[in-house]
Amino acid sequence: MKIIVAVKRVVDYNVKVHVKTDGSGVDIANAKKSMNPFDEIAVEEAVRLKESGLASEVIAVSIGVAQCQDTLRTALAMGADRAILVQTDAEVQPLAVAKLLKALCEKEEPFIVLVGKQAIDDDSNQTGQMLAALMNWPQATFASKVEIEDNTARVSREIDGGIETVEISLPAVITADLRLNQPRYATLPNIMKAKKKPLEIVTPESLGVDISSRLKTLRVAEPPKRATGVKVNDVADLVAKLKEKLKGTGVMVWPV
Amino acid sequence: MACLIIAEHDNSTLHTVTAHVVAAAKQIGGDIHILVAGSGCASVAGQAAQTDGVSKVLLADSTQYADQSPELLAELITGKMADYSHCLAAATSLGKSVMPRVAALLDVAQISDIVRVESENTFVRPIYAGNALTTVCSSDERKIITVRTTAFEAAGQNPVSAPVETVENIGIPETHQRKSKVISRELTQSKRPELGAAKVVVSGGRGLGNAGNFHQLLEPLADKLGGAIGASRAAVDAGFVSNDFQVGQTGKIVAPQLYIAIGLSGAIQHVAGMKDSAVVVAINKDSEAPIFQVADYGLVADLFEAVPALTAALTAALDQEQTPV
Amino acid sequence: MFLSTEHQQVADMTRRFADEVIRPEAERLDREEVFAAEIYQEMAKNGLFGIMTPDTYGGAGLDCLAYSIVMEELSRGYASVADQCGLVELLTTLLCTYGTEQQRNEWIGPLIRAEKRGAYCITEAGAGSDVSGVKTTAVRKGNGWVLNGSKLWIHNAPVSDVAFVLARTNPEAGKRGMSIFIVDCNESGVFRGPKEHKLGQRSSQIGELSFTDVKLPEDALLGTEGRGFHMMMSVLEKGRVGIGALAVGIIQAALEASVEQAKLRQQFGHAISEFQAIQFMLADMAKDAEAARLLVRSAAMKLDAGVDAAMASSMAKCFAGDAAVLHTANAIQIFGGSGYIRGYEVERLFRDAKITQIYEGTNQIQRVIIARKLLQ
Repeated sequence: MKIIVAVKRVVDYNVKVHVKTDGSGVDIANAKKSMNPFDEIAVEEAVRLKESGLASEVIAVSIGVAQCQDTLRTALAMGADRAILVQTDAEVQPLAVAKLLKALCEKEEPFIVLVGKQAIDDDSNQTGQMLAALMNWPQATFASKVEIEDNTARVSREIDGGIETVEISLPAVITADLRLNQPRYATLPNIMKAKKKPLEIVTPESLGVDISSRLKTLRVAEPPKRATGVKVNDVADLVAKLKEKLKGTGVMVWPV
Repeated sequence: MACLIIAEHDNSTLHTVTAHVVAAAKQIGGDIHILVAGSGCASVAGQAAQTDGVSKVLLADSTQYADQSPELLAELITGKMADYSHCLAAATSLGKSVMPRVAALLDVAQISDIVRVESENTFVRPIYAGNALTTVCSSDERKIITVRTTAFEAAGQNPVSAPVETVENIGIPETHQRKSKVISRELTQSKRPELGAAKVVVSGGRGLGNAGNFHQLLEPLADKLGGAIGASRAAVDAGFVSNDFQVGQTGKIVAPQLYIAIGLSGAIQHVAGMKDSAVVVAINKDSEAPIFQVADYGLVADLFEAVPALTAALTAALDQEQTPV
Repeated sequence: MFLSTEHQQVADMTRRFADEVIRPEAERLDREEVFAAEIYQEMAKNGLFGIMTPDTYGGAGLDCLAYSIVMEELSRGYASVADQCGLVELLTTLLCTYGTEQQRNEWIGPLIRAEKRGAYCITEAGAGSDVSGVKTTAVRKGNGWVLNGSKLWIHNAPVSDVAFVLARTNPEAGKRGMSIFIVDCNESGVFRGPKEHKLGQRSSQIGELSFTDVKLPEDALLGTEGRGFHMMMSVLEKGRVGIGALAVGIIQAALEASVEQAKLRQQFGHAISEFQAIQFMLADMAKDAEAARLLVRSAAMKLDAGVDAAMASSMAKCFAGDAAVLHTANAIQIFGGSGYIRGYEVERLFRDAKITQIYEGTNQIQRVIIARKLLQ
């Protein structure tokens, strides 16, 4: 009853990124990196499932540069049992990530794969669904509650209009939304213990997966800036200004 | 070149987002077909057929699509893609769930949340919570796309209906169906316009203090303006309102004519969801709250006094409007 | 400074904890002058007490570098909270180094789990920087001791369960006539004075702890009789690293607040960050923060390596404390009038900074130590 949980190393969510002046990308070389917050929630859920006796082992997987080991160590400190890094310096797009995870799923045979619903760098929101499709597994995206019984997961999902509850047979992919849980801190003693947990390094080649990019980035630009607004003195001032500004928009029909 | 658009609907009504996706498809070019998959959804096909620019509607009407399960929809769509170069859906819960599956089954990339079409293979999409816009070019033969609907004006209505064609042979193996089923949906019932489509959004944050204040202060204001209610993540986490009210990077993306932010600080994740609004008003007692940086009009005030005063002032103004001059 | 994976994880974890748990409470804790009991429970749960205590006693088993990182990050959240961590560290270090197995088992766990609150009692009315002035006495009686005397400005005194008390056991032997006793604060004869109202670090509960004919059992003695002064001195360097790190945390908080304010605040049609006068203040703040941090970490690494760290820890504590006072004052300058108002973080930081020039050996004493080393 293994769980694979995939974690991505991304620019810390507190960092406001800037676009490179040559438009080739976002300047992240010196920005602080952390585990993608949604993946942290996924790790927490996996560890809780193990702690409640529903899973036997939690395997954290990351894909990317050598420094992703740090992200994996954090997952280990949170309670994952072992880690696998698929090491590559190349850009790995969601489809390739899904294929790499598929290769690991075929090897490890987990009953659940938990991932964050999206990474806060590329905001793609694809990997979990793609993996589920490649494995021909069911999926439960945007999970806010997960209950496991026998060979079934009952998952509450945060959808546009409210909450939907689905029942999916396992194995399956579950993607974590914000309110699934509150991730624990990697405590100091557990950071030390994590040093001794196994971390295996493999490569896309050794897994036999082609990770070539399908999307080419032509340029990256700053979004148009909103013009600086003004402070209004009071409610009357605000209403007067809105009245003028919204003329003709049909939002509110104001007296002449 | 032809685009297949996945209709967003509830088996009786076509959701307005679909018309925005059609608008994006029109910029790509070629024939535009809409796939309506559901159960007892023929009337939706009729509505889809009247969308300007649509030349055909495919109707896959079967009980197995009643829930619009992403697993089954993805198989249905994948099976149809031999005839299409592009497949588009709104970046809604449904679109986000289905489209990556379609892409993976076709072994192509998926392009999420596009805000601009540059050519049939080049698109602009936001990354880093909208702090950057990336222009990407797809080398795949088929492009599987989700659309940020607020970035495209809705396609209009066409009095002449496009033909509706029924999709045949949509049997799915029994075994497959048992892998996933919807147990329940608890949808927020509201007489207010939908958050994603409203012309006015009144959003509240943690500054409102509790759920009672949130509703008592924001609802009269929203109703006065015919607007929808939104919330910051902090307000949702604090339990003031349910998750479907959240505006932001991972919640709803809105771009109304008027966005009023009340008692919320304006974290970048929240701003990512509302910064394309035409006019932004911020009311906050902290004059240095980041929300003021994106506000056209900022009012530094105690919201507990300012919001009722604003509601009252609008009531007076609108009442005056109704009085014949 | 480049940190190992574990040290970076410790830094990241503590920073996040401070941002999420400590910082939002700092203003209230300062205003209400209350003991941060809930935060200490959370810290205990996350291994943020007993940083260098071996895991066999329930500690984190980390090194002094990690301890300095934890102190800095906690202090960036709120200096009073960091000081509690420093106090527990000092007491558990004494117990680990000099305690009997029974004393360790009795006290380390409860201190680290924040179940018991400890106080470290050295200072008296006539004994501040000059510890040889200690007048509290412990006299042998039967199989135990009788403790008499009064300790001033004792951290945690108003709330403590256990006190580690430096007392004279041989009036004739000078520094060699002092011993440390572990005193249960619920014993009869232990009196607490009222809580002092301080300039800064106001969540730290400070007061008098006095002892009138307090009967102590034989095993209340920590370590060897007559070695109390030596034992106390032996943990001073680590204490100075801790306070140096605490001061760095204050500067860092001031720096971050100042940078943000400078970018936001508009005057003469420009953000004040565009003015060189402001830029220079920010640059000096940043370079002194980094210099202080490196001094602190260098002293910590010397302690970890087991080499003489006396001069390094004095330099670190002295430099960081002075820089904290200077730059929190500059932070207020950058904020202008608003920085002088209660409720603004920089106003509190300025008040919190001052004591770092005083406690754990005044900065005058630190300079004496540095000079003595230079001139020996």
